[in-house]
Amino acid sequence: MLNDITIGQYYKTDSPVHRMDARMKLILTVLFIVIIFLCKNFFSLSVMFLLTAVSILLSKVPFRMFFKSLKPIVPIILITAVLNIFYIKKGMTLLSFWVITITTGGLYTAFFMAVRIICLIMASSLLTYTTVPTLLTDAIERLLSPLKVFHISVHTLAMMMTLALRFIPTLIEEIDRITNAQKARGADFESGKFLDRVRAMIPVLIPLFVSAFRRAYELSFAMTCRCYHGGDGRTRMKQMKFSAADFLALGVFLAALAGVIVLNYFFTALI
Amino acid sequence: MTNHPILTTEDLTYIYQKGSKNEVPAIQDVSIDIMQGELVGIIGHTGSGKSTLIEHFNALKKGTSGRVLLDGADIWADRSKIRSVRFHVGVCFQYPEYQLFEETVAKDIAFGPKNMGLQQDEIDRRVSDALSFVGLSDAYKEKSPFDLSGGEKRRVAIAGIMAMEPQVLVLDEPCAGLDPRGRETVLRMIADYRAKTGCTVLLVSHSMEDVAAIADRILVMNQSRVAFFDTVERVFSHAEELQNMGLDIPQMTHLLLLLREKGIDVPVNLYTVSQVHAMLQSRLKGGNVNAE
Repeated sequence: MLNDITIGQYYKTDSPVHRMDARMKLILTVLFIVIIFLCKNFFSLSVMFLLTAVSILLSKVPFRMFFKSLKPIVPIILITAVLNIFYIKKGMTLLSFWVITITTGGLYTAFFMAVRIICLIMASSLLTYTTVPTLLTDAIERLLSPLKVFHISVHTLAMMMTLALRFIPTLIEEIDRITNAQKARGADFESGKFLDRVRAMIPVLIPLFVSAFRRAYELSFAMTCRCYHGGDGRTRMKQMKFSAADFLALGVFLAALAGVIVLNYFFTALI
Repeated sequence: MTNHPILTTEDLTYIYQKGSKNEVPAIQDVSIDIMQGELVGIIGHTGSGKSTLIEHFNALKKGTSGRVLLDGADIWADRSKIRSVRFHVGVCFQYPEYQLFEETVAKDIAFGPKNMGLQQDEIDRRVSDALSFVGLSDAYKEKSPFDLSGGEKRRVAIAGIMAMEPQVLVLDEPCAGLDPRGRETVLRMIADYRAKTGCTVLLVSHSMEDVAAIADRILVMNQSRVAFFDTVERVFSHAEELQNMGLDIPQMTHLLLLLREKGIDVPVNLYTVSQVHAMLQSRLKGGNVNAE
């Protein structure tokens, strides 16, 4: 029933993007989001579009994967595009009918926004497609570690995230097992009104929660037995190291940032 | 036991991820007849397909090819009747205690009968009957299932299946994780239930010893196929092949195999201490263990 959900959606292959340091990928993704919001016209936007395209090609992740991640966002893209077309009245009027006026400015903005959202989604998908979830939480932990100054336990948060990710497949398996067991007792999940179906989930949800708590206790015992006591003084099995490729990528992104600023300056702003 | 087959499979095959490059056959060409009222032990190594096989008996899985007949009728003939198949073939999965969810033991046992749409007084009768089958007193009725011990939870969960009064009761590893006394209790409980109701019971296990003690026939699965399906004695006469399949044979059978290795000609199809004791004693009285 739930087997087709991909969690963490890591796409296993070997590529320069996969080999990059997770911290750098995270930094670059954030940088990418900042730059794409700085873009003011099509010239600067095309720089970012190009950057997205090149990164995707380098990652060796098939294009259909990106289409898959775009699919749930399509309604949002369409709604923003439609709103922009109808509300922005700039430039030449193309069509005027009753209360509807469509202008060139509206069309441009709609297109601009659509491309921007698509690039955003692609870039963030690229991060999750090329980085294993555990490495990602590891990277978050290290990048946020300066927050220790404010007495925020970054390690605990990262550990919680890692554990949560780790247990998603386990819980899905558990749901399957419990569902089968209740079906064997004649539970009916497929028919009835909406409320009946929600009620039919109770025999699955209660055992699921019970077993989730049981697992949590067992896990905490197991961790305590191995002397886990939080992040203080804990060393790592895998050391993260920036390579030359990481700095090269950073250079490219900074160059893109400079390019966007220059292009914004020389060409008129669209938005 | 009668000669009337209650559950039949015809060339039943199930392949995981059919059509993709990593097809895995879980069961292949399984054709068996299970007779009304018999107690069949299903044995096999992990991954031999025994659990997949029982999911076909109550229509949780549909074979990639082949048929399953309940009382002579194809269970998939009418899709709207699939739920009623599950009431006729009651399957109790491994670690059934993890499926308890109601506030009280009585309510949890009543879940199956309630789904069958029975009257309240009939449900109450079945709950009481099921509780007594698993050897728990009526005092348990109002307890919370989450307050019980592991063994008690297991018995309550099994009672939940028995309360549907299925024609065929299928138990997947009912003794898994129980201590020796718990195993003994559960096995005796199953044998008693069969004796009282005359209902067909399938018992899945990886322990030969458990199954040999109460089963009429044993179905041995190996690498997704039926290896043997015969009476307990005849299956154990293939002791060496069973060992090659990675199955643990009863200790007594193992002992007889060792004697045979030493050149002493003994039958290997015996499996209880009393059987072997009787056999060896009669030999020794004859003055020669190698007689016959």
